[in-house]
Amino acid sequence: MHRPIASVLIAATLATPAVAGDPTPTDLVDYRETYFEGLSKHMKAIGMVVKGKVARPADLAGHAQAIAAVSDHLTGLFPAGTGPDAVPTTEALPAVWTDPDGFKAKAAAFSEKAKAFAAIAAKGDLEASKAAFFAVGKACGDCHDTFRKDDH
Amino acid sequence: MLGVVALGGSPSDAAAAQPASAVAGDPEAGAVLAGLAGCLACHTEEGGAPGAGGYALPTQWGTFHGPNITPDPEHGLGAWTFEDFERAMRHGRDPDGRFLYPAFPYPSYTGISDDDLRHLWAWLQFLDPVAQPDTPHDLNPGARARSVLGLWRMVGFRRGPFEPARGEDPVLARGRYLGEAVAHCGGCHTPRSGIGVPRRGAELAGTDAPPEPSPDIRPHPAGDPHAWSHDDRVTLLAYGMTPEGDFVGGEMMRLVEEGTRRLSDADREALARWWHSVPPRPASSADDR
Ligand code: HEC
Ligand code: HEC
Ligand code: HEC
Repeated sequence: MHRPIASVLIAATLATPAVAGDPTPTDLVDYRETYFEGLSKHMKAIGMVVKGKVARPADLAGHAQAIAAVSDHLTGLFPAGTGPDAVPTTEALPAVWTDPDGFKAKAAAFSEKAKAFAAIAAKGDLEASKAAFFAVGKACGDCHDTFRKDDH
Repeated sequence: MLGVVALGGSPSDAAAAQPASAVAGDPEAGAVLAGLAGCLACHTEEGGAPGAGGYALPTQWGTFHGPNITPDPEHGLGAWTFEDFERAMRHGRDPDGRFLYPAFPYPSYTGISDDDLRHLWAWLQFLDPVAQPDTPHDLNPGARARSVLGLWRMVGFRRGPFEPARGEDPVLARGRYLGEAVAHCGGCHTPRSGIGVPRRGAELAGTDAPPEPSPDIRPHPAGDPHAWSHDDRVTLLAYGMTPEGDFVGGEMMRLVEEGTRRLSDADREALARWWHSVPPRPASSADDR
């Protein structure tokens, strides 16, 4: 019943320039790349603390919480239609969409490690935090290995 | 906790068979060396028992399969003596004197010191013995006869052990030992000629060779904005994190987790120093890293 109307709407959407609240695939890729850069900045800051380059161990909990808090957003940042066909600049591999279960599993592993790290960092144990931080980093690399282009 | 084991049967046998200076192998030190050298990576198939072999290693010569190196007497190294092991690692020959293929990185491991070979041997004894037969290699016709390796060795092999260069800074020499003989960073990161000899003047310049492309990790020329600091290198080795806060994956993360992360701070510093001492990439090839 509703189908013809829906298709007309979709066609219209595709034909007209994006308006607020109606992100283009390029916006979505831009957003998720910014999301990952945010993760990286937190990880880099944590690295500076765990190495003792910056003597601010009390900051760890906040960084770890920030990562844990957004960790569940990850899979939602890859809707259909935002792959390399639509946005050539994306570094996401088609496998994100052809192997959604594999991708979700890597995202879930990352989120689990991020939350474990946040819990450990909240206790203020620097040594345990180092190991938990490494486990998060490993989960980042582990997903990139299968789902992100190599030439990064 | 693993104990320190004496080699070659009873302690008295071992003492008789070895020069007075020989140390007993420490399996825990051996485990770190093995992680750094990547032994299990090539000798374990996906989901298989550690060291039991079967892992497929595609190369330009065909596909090799890492043999069983567990202490199983029939299919593994159970019947080998330490001397057999040393002959394989330092000389690239099996107990019958036949040449081993350099897909087994003995051209690097030949540099491993006597003491470290003993540690590795002690570690090997702690693997669970697994009665798994070796998978035969699947090689191109021209590479099937081991006798061709005699020629190859004339260009591709210089026997160790590693010696510091005259007047070489001891920290740098230690780093070079770890980077060239044990971790053999060049095994993955240095491009090879058609016959599989590391290309001269291209140390750590990166390669697309299977199983996984390995990037150019030569230092950037002085003054390049992307140049890594010493601290950046140490962090990569300790956490697998790049200066951008990104993380390595795959074989590299395995090496970090099982090897470089477990080194002492002093050894990690030394390895980073050596890595920095490798000739830099030419200015024109500096990419966006
Ligand atoms: C479940 C998979 C997954 C996990 C987990 C993951 N990433 Fe990513 N990451 C991706 C994908 C896919 C891209 C490519 C996105 C694109 O270009 O559209 C990416 C891109 C990036 C980028 C490049 C962003 C840019 O500007 O192009 C960085 C940096 C990054 N990730 C860092 C991290 C860090 C740090 C972590 C862990 C804290 C992490 N990622 C966890 C999949 C993942
Ligand atoms: C890059 C992959 C790779 C790595 C890393 C590697 N090996 Fe091997 N190894 C092989 C292959 C392939 C062979 C078979 C060579 C042949 O058939 O000539 C082999 C052969 C051997 C042999 C001879 C076994 C036999 O039955 O003849 C021993 C012993 C051995 N490896 C031990 C080790 C140890 C100890 C390490 C770590 C210090 C190690 N290997 C690391 C690939 C590897
Ligand atoms: C078994 C193969 C192997 C060995 C041995 C190896 N690497 Fe790697 N390395 C890789 C691969 C594959 C990558 C790409 C990793 C990825 O996908 O993130 C890599 C990536 C790297 C990177 C990241 C470069 C960047 O800018 O992102 C650095 C740095 C590096 N390796 C340094 C080393 C050093 C130093 C050694 C010796 C201590 C070494 N590697 C030994 C395979 C190897």
